[in-house]
Amino acid sequence: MSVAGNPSPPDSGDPNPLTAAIGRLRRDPSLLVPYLAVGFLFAVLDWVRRRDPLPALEFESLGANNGISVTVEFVGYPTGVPQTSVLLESFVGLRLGYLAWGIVSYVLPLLAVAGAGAYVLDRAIGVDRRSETDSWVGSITPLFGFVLAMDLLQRLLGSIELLQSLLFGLLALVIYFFVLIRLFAVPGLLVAGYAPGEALRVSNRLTHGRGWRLFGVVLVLGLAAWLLASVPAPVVGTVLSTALVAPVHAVAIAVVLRPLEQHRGR
Amino acid sequence: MPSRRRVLAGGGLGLAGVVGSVRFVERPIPLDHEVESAIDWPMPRYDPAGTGANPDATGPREDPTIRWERDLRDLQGPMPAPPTLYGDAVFVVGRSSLYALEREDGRIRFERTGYSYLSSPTVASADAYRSPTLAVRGNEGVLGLSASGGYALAGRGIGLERWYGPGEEPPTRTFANPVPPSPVAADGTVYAALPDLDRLVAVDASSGRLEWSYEPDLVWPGEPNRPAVRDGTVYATFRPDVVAAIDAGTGDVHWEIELEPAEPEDEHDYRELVAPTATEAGLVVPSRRAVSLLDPADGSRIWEYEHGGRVTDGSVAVADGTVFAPDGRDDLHAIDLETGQEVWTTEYGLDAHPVVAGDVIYLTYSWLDDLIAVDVENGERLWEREIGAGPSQPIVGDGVLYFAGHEGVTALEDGGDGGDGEGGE
Repeated sequence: MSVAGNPSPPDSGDPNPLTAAIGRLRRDPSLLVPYLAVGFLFAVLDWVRRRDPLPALEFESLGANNGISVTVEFVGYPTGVPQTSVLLESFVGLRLGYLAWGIVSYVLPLLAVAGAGAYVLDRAIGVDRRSETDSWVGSITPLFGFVLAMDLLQRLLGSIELLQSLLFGLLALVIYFFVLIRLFAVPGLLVAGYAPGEALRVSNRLTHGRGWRLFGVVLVLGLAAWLLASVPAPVVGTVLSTALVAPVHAVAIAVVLRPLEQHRGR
Repeated sequence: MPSRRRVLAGGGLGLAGVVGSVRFVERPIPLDHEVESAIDWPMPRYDPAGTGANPDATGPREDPTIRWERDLRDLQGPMPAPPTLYGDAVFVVGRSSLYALEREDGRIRFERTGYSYLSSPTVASADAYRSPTLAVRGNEGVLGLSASGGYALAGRGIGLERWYGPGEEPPTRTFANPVPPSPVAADGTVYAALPDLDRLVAVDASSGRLEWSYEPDLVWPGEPNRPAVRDGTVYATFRPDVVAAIDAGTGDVHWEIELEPAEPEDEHDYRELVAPTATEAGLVVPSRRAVSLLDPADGSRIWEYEHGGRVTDGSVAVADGTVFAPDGRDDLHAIDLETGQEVWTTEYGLDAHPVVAGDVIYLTYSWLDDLIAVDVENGERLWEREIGAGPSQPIVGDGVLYFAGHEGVTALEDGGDGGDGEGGE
């Protein structure tokens, strides 16, 4: 069922992933729907988390920290920006019922993001399936694994004090963006049926030589998500950042995967 | 990259679970009970009302002996902030750590490294957790710590810090001795005076979520003192002279007044209020030269006792209808709570936080090395003892008095063969 073959090196005729993605979404706006649903799910979870007795972090919007901080909300897979996030460290010592809710509150949005991503990427890439039963649903699991791994990795990095200092933080930020760019195509490759290790290798090759262009994509998507999420109205920021930025990100991944499709076509 | 600290560590947490049996992983240590007992001292000044008196507790009445001493490397210099007694544990905050000691013999239950723990720990019930939250004042906010200590993995605490509130913790690290004001806890809510922000906040003890915040409207906001909570009302004093009553649940302000200076004709004369105590007779408000009793309904003055001292710190204790108030210059005064009349005075010229257990008042001063016991009935000095430099205000449990000081915590008990008990490490 996979899109097989070796990727071609990029050529100067590569379309800009962002403009190509926006064009595709204008032609097929139904691709916005799954992430719109995820945005509403995020909003519901925000509402509940602000009322349950579990600690949660609030999103730092535009104007936080006296307006001097700018955040690039890019985490390596298509998603939106909820207004709250759970603190895994605070799960230690919870009573069983609250622990169960905490785990649901953490896993459910990641699962929803993986589900929406699997569907949208599947359609955007146009993966050939061997059978009717071999549907996009089967790619939810590997994509969820990637989403979970990226989330845990970023939480781990965020908890290392040394990386919060200016000197080490800047160095870590450069490495972090480099790695994110090299992993840019991984969600699409997982949906296309690549094994995780193979997806990492192929994504690395596919993004080679496109680093600066993809860095621009990452910056635009990350800043757009942050700005939209900062809209000072209940629900609106979360829904907008999810329903608009995540589909563009997903389709942009599909655009980056086009050399594979072309190779397959030949 | 996420800059949010303490988001942790799914990775680290998972690792701790996997290797939980390995020796370098320390597990949480449950307390022996999850509800307050009569002989706990769960926060500085004992209770939410700030009475500094536990009628069920007893301390040494005669010249005491050492039950145990525990050297703690992170306690240095004067320690104005006292330990906290809860269940079978004594909690104490150092310059960059939280310690839990065995109440019985002072052995270390756990030691967790942390920073910006700037006050004594206050025990707060947290519905969502199996153990209470220890609330400590941090930079510009309050931290909720696990009374079980969470895990420690190769020196890194995991699950110790449950939350910071309100908002996000500033990146500043502060290594300093803990000092008043400490948070107050009542009915699952933590009330904290934040001197950094000249503000009083109420946060949920489970989630750390802000319930309300209060700044006085009157004059310029001054530094807040430890609040007092009683019957669903939070009483706050702000230097130099603002007193307010706030609904504990909603944050609605019942009243807010400025206490006029003792000498109104002197434009440079201010009250210089310190921490209040809420009682059944009214709100006891100590200030530089007087102690006042205010009507909790509207803040009007019921009586005022002028001692003419120069209080700049400290607080009063209230037990069995009597207010015990140091004047910071000459004496400790016993004042009848109903009438405001003097009951007795005894020589004691320091700013102190007296505590009362049974029929004894205990007094320390963090820059001197004396612990003094005074009879509540007549002010007679029962005994005094040199206890080393920099003692905190004492706390009292079942026959034992505890205090933190330079390099450690000490437990004293009445006479007998106590000897030196378990030696320091």
